[in-house]
Amino acid sequence: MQKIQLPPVLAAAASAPRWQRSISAPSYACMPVLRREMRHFLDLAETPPAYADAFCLSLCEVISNIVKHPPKKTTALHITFDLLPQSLRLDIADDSTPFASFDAICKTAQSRLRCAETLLESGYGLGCILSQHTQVSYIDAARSADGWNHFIIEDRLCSAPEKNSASRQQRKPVVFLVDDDAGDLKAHHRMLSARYDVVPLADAASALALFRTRRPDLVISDLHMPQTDGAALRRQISALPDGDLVPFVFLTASAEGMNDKGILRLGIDDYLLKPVTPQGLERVAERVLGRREQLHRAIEGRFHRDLQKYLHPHLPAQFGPWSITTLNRMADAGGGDFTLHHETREGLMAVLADVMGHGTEAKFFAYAYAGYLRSLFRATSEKSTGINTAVFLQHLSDAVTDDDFLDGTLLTCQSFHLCPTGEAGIASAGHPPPLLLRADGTAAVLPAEGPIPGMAGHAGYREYRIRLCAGDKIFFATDGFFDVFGRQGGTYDADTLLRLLPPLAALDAAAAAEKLWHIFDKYLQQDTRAPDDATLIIAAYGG
Amino acid sequence: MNINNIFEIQPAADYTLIRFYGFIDASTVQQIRPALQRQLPEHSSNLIVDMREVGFLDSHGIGLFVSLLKQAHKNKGRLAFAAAKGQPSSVLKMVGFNGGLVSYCPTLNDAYALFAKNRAV
Repeated sequence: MQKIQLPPVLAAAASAPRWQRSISAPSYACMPVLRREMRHFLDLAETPPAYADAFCLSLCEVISNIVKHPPKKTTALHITFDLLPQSLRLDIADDSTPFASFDAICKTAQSRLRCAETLLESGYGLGCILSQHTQVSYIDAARSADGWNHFIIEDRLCSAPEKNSASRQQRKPVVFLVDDDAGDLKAHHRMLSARYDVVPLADAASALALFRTRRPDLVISDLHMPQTDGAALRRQISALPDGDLVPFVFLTASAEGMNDKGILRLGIDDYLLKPVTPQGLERVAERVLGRREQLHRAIEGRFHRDLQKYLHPHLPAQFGPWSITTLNRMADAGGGDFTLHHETREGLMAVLADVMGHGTEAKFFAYAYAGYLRSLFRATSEKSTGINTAVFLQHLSDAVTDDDFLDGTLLTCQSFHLCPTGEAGIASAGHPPPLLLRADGTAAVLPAEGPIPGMAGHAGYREYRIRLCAGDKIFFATDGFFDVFGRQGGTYDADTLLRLLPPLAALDAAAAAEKLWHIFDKYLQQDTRAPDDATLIIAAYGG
Repeated sequence: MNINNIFEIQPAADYTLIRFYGFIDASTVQQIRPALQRQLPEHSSNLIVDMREVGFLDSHGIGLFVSLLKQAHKNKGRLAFAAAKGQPSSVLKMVGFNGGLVSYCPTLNDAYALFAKNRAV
């Protein structure tokens, strides 16, 4: 396996102020001392307090993770903090078992932190780190040059008051500017620095080393450089995982040779003739980055559409005396809602699930979870004598407890069964309770509640049972539907919805669903939150 | 480490006040958690966490607060953080406790008033 030489991030690193500590057999007890010492160093260097607070917290989070989790106990820890001219960099190296599936956990860590209300008691550490810093990377022992695991946190310095919100704000695209000519490097840096986070690099080797730990949005490199030239840099970057996805622009003194087969095969995005003008350089950077964003959106859109075909919630429209209407809105940005169902002579057993989170990752996890639940659902249905919604949720909760992959994302789930006799059983795992609308217009919240999967322990889930009469309806929905009825974008309040239901009592399931969805759309227009998947299921008993 | 130097509990009619001192991090939470479980009355519903004397909070502290929140919920109560400032305040802001579950009060008196008001209602 290729070894990575940790990069000297900027040339000035050697002379920059540095704080270093080596600890044998680290424990929780060493954390307050290390935190105090590092804080003292940062305060002496007049580091803005927001940065100092953030790095002190991250130091503790990384060390407590190293102390707590690895199967092989850590015997030594090396901590290095560099105060670089434009950035702050913390490197925590350890000799224990590498952090398993770091990238996968990163994907959900921040969502998990923002979902603390779902009452998980642990797992917020990485979310804290990622929420505070613009650059977090991990190089495990197998890939590092010194055989240690390196947890590296770096922040570019912006004006001090901006720090607290810096990582949440729109960040500037990062551009690696590679040129052996110091004059050109300085001039091009100046031309781009207003709109881009420019990292100037004097040679291809530095660029390649840094590329392994920090991914830029664009590389602009001189073609002709001593030792490794721009073409070789492009080839080496393309050979790295996802390296060929980063757009690449050459700077060259002559157009001659740019149409050579060797250069064309490199798949560069553009080239510029030196001397470049500020307008020309900015225009090319903007166009190349714009095109990349466009392609990214198009591919992501196609990915969402492909997944949605499989995830789209659906239940049979009729099951014996039950009429069922399912409506759903799938948001590109939101998590994933999906349903499963299984029909037997005893009744229709169904599951409505909502994978939390936003964006492509949440959709992916929804897809993966749906496959997992489908297998579990089938196995539970086959094993169980009689249908019990609580048993299924208990199996799911046990699986989440034992499985790191499932524990990496959050899911709420509701299982229910509808019997031809009008009986219904409902069990919930962190899912908003369903609503009941009697034929006489009386509306109520059904007390079907339970902990989210993974938190049930052996206490288990309880099935709430109810008998419906002809014309009664049950409304099942996911957070994305209920939350829209929150007061002024606040927490969902069932009272709002309960007031809206009585006029729907005389309607059949399809008409009631259509009318309620219309009201939902109106509320949605006033909602300022990011759109989430929303699913509404109305099950009406015909008697 | 004397646990009494890390936190204290003051039960009152409308709420239970939990006052923390110093650091709430991995090194202290492992001691706080069992002590809190022993000392916090099981029926406590409305909980006020006094943050005035807290100098540092990490994710283990968040986990501890989640367990307090669960207890408050179990007993149909609420959780209020009072007078958090500096680094602990920033960490609380990062966490997804929304307004329906948790209250953030600028002063301890505001937290007292919150639960007194709830009783009046």
